[in-house]
Amino acid sequence: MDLLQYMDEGWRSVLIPVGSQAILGLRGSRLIVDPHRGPTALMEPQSGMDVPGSDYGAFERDVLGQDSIARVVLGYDLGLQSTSFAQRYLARDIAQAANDWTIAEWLPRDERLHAMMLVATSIPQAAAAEIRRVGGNDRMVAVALGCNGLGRPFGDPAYHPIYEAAEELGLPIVIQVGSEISGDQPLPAVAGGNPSTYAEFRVHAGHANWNHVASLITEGVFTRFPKLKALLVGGGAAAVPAQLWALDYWYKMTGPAFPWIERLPSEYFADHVRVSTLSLEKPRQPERLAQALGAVAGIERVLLYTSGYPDQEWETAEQIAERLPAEWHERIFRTNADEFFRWPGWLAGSHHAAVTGNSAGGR
Amino acid sequence: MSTYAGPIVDVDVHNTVASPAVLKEYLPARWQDYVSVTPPVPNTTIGLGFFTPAPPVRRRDGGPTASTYQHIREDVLEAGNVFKAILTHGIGQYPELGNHDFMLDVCRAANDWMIDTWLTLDDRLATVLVVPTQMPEEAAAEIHRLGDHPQMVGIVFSSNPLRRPLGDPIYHPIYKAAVEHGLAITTHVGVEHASVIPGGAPSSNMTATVNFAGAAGHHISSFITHGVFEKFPEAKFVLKEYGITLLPSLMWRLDAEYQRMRSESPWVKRYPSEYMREHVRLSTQPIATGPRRRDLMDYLSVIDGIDDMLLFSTDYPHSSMDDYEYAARQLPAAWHRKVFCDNACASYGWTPPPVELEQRIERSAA
Repeated sequence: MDLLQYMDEGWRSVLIPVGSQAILGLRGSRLIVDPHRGPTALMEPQSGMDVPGSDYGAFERDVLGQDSIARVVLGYDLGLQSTSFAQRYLARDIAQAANDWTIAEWLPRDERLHAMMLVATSIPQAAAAEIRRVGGNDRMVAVALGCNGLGRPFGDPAYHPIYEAAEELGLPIVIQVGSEISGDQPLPAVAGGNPSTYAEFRVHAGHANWNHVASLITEGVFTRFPKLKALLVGGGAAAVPAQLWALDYWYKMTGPAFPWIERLPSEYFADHVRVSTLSLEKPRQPERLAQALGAVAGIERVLLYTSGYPDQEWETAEQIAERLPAEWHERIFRTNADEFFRWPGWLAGSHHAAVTGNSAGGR
Repeated sequence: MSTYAGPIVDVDVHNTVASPAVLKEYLPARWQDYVSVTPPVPNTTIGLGFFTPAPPVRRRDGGPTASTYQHIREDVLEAGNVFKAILTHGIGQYPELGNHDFMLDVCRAANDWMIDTWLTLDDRLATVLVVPTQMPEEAAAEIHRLGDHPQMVGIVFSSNPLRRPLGDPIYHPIYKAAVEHGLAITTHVGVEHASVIPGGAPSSNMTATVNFAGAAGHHISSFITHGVFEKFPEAKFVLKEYGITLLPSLMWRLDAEYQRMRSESPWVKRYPSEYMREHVRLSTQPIATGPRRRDLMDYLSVIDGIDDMLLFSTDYPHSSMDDYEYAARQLPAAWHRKVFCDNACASYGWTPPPVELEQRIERSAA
């Protein structure tokens, strides 16, 4: 297992007998399906090279091989679930090893490659330290939160040290669906109780992200860390209008409960939150997708292309482009990502001091 | 700006006990002392402590708002041209009580109280049965006991002690009984205990509330993947107080999983959206919209026939209630008669009032 080389001797003696599943976070996962192969492939021990996304040759062919790909952000996969491990120090050290492994073995292979850093959210101070340790590498362009290791929505004050470090280093945070299926996670995978079928999971997996957004906004994360941005990955986008309207509606109803919020939730959302195109809806009348999304003015500034590779439903930019209006393409496939991630060069600029100067205040 | 003067069915009106002592009278003798330490009205709804999504509007007479017929008559029945109003308890989370024997008797007491002190007063009133949802056989027995009352139009899940999505087979005995008596299966905001919200327990009533629609969507998906509508072709599933904007995304995402259902849920014979059009109805309140006038219709109209799926509700007496004028302004005039009246009549088996009534009222209004 590649990752073990980046972990210390102690962990190696413990983890080698257990095998790759411990590190992948698959052991104890409550869905008996592999998201890459669908419900027909029951979980079984996997050899390192059998893990989807681990084969650089295939990745190079499928993703980098597309002429239109200018830059790529690697975002880990089932490893995102490692941040929920009950053994928190293992989670912390896996995150460190994963970041070192990414920097050493992936980024040098192609100059278009960038990556998110994995942090163990169950120990926020350790996560903040990891952000500061790895954040000096300017091809690490975002922070992947993975599972919410404390079982609390991501706006919870316990997580704020992570956001302080991320903002300080100009790094956005990324929240990905699927982290709720970890067997170490006491929360249901989707709202209303755990699903019986994989179809239910696919339909509703995005819900947790909206819980996190409501939490980030109402707990004042964006007032306390005004430069922080967040990307929601994997739940599709057609629910965006409904979710924003509900947030504003209930905020107007209960607003005095949140004196640290100065604007409507939808306004914070527009400034701070982006939504990926992974699992973008496919209505049988494709033109209606743009109609539904367009119910929110400026939606083309919210959506950001992500392929989702190697998810079994990953899509090329061309496939996504087919069901979105041409006038939105420049934003969704290029500009929004340009503005969102902390691309190389930022660290050398003057942003750093400016951001730290602004990070006080808020809640 | 549209207005509506026709007949109204309000499918979500909350009447409430003036005090826990009211239900005591309907409980067997053995509980009379017990209720002094364990009130029959659970005072936590979704286990969050803070949960009051919208406190009741205030009235200064006759006890707690909505605890007397006079309140309901003045504020609901006579506030508009109301043909029928469905009382949905306040909100009826009795199944959440931990002692099963006590809980069973409290559910029965709440239903007897409803029939005794409300339904007899006005034939415009109808109601839903509170059933002990964590004891499905007992729930079915309660449905058989009272399900044929002419003003009984549904059963309601306002709490979900088993914490399972509502299509789960554990609940099918309840649905079998409901369908036998022609009762709609209803769920109301409140079944979403904090422990079933992914991502962690919300920390405020606002963040709890914005999570409810997602759970409601899963209850619908669960009905479909478990084949409830194939097993019980007469079943109607009415969801109250989740809003209506959950439909477009849900229907598209479910339809996209149809092929996967061929192996996981082979009893699913049609696109999920087709089952939903036939069997699923949503109460309208709260109607949350975007800032532009056209936003809501742009969004809802991506689903053909969505206007057949909506049932008007006020959610009286909560301060987040929608009045008739507000709902009429948000929804196009072409939908009004259906959403305010005819859809509910079809769902609950009422003959819609004649058109003349509507015209007479419009004339007198003019």
